Amino acid sequence: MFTLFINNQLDKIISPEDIMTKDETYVLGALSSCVGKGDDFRADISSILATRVINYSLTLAEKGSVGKDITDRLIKLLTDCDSFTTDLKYYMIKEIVNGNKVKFAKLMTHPDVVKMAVK
Amino acid sequence: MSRIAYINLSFNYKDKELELEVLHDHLAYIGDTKELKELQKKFNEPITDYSLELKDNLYFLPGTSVPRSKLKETHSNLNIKSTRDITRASKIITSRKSMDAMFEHTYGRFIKVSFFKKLITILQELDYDIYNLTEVNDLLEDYESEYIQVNYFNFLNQNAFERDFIKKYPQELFDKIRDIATSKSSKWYYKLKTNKFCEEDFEDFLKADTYSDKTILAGINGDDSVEIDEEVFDNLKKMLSSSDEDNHTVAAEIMANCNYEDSAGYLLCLLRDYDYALSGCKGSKHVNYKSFLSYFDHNQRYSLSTAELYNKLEATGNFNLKHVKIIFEAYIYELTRVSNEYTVVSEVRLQKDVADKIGYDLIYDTESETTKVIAHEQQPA
Repeated sequence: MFTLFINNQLDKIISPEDIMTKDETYVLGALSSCVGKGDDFRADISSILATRVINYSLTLAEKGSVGKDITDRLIKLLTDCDSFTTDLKYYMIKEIVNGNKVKFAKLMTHPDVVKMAVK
Repeated sequence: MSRIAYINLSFNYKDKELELEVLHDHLAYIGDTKELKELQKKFNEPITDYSLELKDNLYFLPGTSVPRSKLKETHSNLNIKSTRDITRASKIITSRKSMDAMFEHTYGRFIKVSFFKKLITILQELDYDIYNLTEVNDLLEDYESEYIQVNYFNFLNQNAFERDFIKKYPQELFDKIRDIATSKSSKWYYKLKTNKFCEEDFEDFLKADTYSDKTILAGINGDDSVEIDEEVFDNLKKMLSSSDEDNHTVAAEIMANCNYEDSAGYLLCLLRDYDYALSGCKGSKHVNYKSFLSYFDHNQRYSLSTAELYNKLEATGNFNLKHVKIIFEAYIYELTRVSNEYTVVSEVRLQKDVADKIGYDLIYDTESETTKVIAHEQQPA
């Protein structure tokens, strides 16, 4: 399992903290290079990243308040990022909203997120 | 504003004594009075035709469910604020639930002040010793209300009292006292819940106009909010039919955050058909979802009939061809399924006055399973 992890270069993929806090252009580029595009799209890595984003967001919410920067980053990932498929984006919305509805209430007030959720 | 005193009457028939005790006075409105009707108007007929203005300072009455953060966000250009000081408010916002939130609707025994005074005189003439009368007289000197509230006083089974009374006064008067002493004097009344609304603010509340929360709620999600069209409606139905309850929460959030006016028809269908799933989901107690329910005046876990869906369209000002047609077609099966081997429902159409209101006839043909939309020659004004 560990060898597989290393072989897949999963140790080198962008951390959830970086996804949520680093510069937007850098993050989108890093995600794109991890996940790939077209025929090279790695759905497995995309799924792992989605789960990490969910866990990071919910842990952050558990520890304290969720700032506008975090909400904005989530909105970006959920609406304007090709590194996650529509079903993964819906999964992220579902898990985050159900995980902490109060702290992520603003997420669902964004029209583009709502549009994405009903696709 | 009516402050009603509560006076306790303790009779001691044997020693011919009556002890009066003013227990408290409270702000109350007795049923069927002009004052109550005027008060109810403030809650039931608020101003609906208005728009929020620059730097509006809003006071929300108890029972209103307007999410403040959403309001500030969607009207960020207007710098809207909310205040807890009614004297500083530019608009007082009310909802259908505000009266119940501010007043306790209860039952009490009331007698007219004039009659109370007469009763005291009679008792004095019957040689009753009356205690604390000075205190009561002081209270009644500047008393504004026509009524006082009293406890249940049962002197009517006292034969001695009746005998004394009848000797001096007509039987009708005794009968009147008996009526008042028994349940006939009981009235419904509304008493201000002082833990919900400060009594000192009540005068200001009465002087000011009230504004409907529905006008704010109609635009609470902003102009760019999602409209629920047929495709979204089908997706939401799938989400609400899902066995995964997390999908219900997301669906409820989408419904609460969409454009209510543009989506009214489909939203009402969802409320009717999936109320159980919606009312059980995680977000159903959140102010965001409650404000959505408040827009439609819908109580969770209350089954809606088709007629009520039309009624809610009317109440929210969304009674137009688009939404009426959605509801008409969604529940046509309720009418056509009554066909049997002897009789057939071949056509379903709107009532004439409904068609007049929207300016169109909707005629559903059972055989072709299609709805014809026929515009009236003269559109309603």
